[in-house]
Amino acid sequence: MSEVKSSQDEEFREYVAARSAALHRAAYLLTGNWATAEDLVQTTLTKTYLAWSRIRTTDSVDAYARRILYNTNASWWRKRSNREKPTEVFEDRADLSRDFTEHGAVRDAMWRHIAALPKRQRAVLVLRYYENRSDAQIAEILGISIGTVKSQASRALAGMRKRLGTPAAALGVAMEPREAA
Amino acid sequence: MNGDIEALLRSGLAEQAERAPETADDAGLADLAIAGAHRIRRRRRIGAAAGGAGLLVIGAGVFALQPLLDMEDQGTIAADSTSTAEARGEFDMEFVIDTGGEYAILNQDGDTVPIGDTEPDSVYRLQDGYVLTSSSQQTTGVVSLDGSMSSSADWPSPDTYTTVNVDATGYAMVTPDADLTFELYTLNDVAADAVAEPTSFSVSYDLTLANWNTSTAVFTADLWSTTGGGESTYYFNSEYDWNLAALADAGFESVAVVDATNTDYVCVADLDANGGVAREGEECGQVGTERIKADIEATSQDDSAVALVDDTVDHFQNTVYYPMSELDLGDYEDEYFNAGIMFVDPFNRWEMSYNRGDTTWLMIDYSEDPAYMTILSPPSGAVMPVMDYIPPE
Repeated sequence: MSEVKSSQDEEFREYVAARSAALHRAAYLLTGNWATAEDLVQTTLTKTYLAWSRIRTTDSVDAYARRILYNTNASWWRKRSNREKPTEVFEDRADLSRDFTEHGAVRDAMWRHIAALPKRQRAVLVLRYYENRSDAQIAEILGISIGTVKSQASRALAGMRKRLGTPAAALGVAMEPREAA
Repeated sequence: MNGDIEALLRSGLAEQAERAPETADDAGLADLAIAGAHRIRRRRRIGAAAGGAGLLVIGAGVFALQPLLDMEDQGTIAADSTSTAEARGEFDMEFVIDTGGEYAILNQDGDTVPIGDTEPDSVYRLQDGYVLTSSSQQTTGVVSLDGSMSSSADWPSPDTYTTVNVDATGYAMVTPDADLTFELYTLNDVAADAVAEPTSFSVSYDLTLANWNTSTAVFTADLWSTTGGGESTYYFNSEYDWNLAALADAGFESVAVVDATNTDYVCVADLDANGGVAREGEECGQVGTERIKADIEATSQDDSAVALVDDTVDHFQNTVYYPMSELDLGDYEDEYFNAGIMFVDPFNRWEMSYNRGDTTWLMIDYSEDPAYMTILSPPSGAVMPVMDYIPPE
């Protein structure tokens, strides 16, 4: 192996060490499943390495990897869309430190709802509310228009409001729905 | 309207993400990726040696399309120059080309239209001009179809984006505020022979401008979570601070808001141009019903307003979803997903993926059923396709 190649590989390993945890977190939110998230990150890193010699000196390595992550996830959902059903319940590791609190119950209800969302709506929510991307950035990453980003987010939020009503309603606490005056 | 849910999402997603397991073996991850990449490269080399697709490039300003997945037809199509003409005719495709630091549009006639020395992010083809956006310059510009006239406007913020109306006669620069509470719109006509003063207004971020003419502005928004589809009067403007009075100040007579979750549902507001909101509350109901059509006509005082709303609904229904192709990309999957640049036609007729400097681009043609993958040999120096917003006939 040439010295140049070896040096590039070392840089890639450093990148993976620095960023793989963040990629895993985003992948888990996208897929809702640890095993699939790991597959997604592995595929993302493989594709990132294929372009490494070209992108390693740019400022956009992480943006590139993120785009691969979201696009690969999109390709998986496209391929599987005929037979895939929404996960009823996201795989969730036991959190023994957590009491059954109001906060936890609301969050769990939200998480179950996200699991049932179409995958593109889920991707928009993760990008907007976890990665704090602007709608223009989300549009660029997912290859859709800004209007579509907003409408997909709106659709997801509307569904969530229907399902949860309000955070209190998710707990079974009766509240009157908000009405127009 | 969704503040509590949005706060829950932000905290809930962050909390859930933090519960992801520690990645125990980063070095192993990297080595697996490196090994996987080497396997893919070996497979590509073997595939290339076994034949691969021959490409056809016909002269400057002409591009060729070759289906990849219908292997039996490849020889015929590669040898048949009419397929190129058919492709040009089908998509009316134009390109931005780099002519050595100066950029130009290669138009449908094969002529070049100079657009300056800054590479744009996107170029939109409208009826009477090209609209250029540049995030490096933070500007949106207009160049006439023959290149003889140009103008440019600075973005108020790096988050500014540009949207085009359905008839491709004008564009809007849209700038959200830092809290995503309001968006500032600046509407500009693109006319062949006149420069009109832009029109500006600021409305709730919940509204997304989709289309407009001189009398009526059409937005999309989430209406369902409030109305549940009810045929009645609702009070979005006063309840949710939509700020429709700003549209009246900008000269509009009417506003139609199409439900993003059910595009057959719309709410109509009545304005007095330069006189504020003319009627308390918005009339909501099904698009196309006599009651709603009459209300759009009465509020807008414009015979073309109903068609404007109908066109917007049609466009929204046809383009809101990114094509979900079941196309198996085969050996081209890696190339497709490694592409750093992707453009999707505004009418979802095609999608282009490539990296800067590639001599061929991957294109998925969604205009055919089933969609199919083609290789595009773009003109020399091509850096991106022009987004053609002129409605297909």
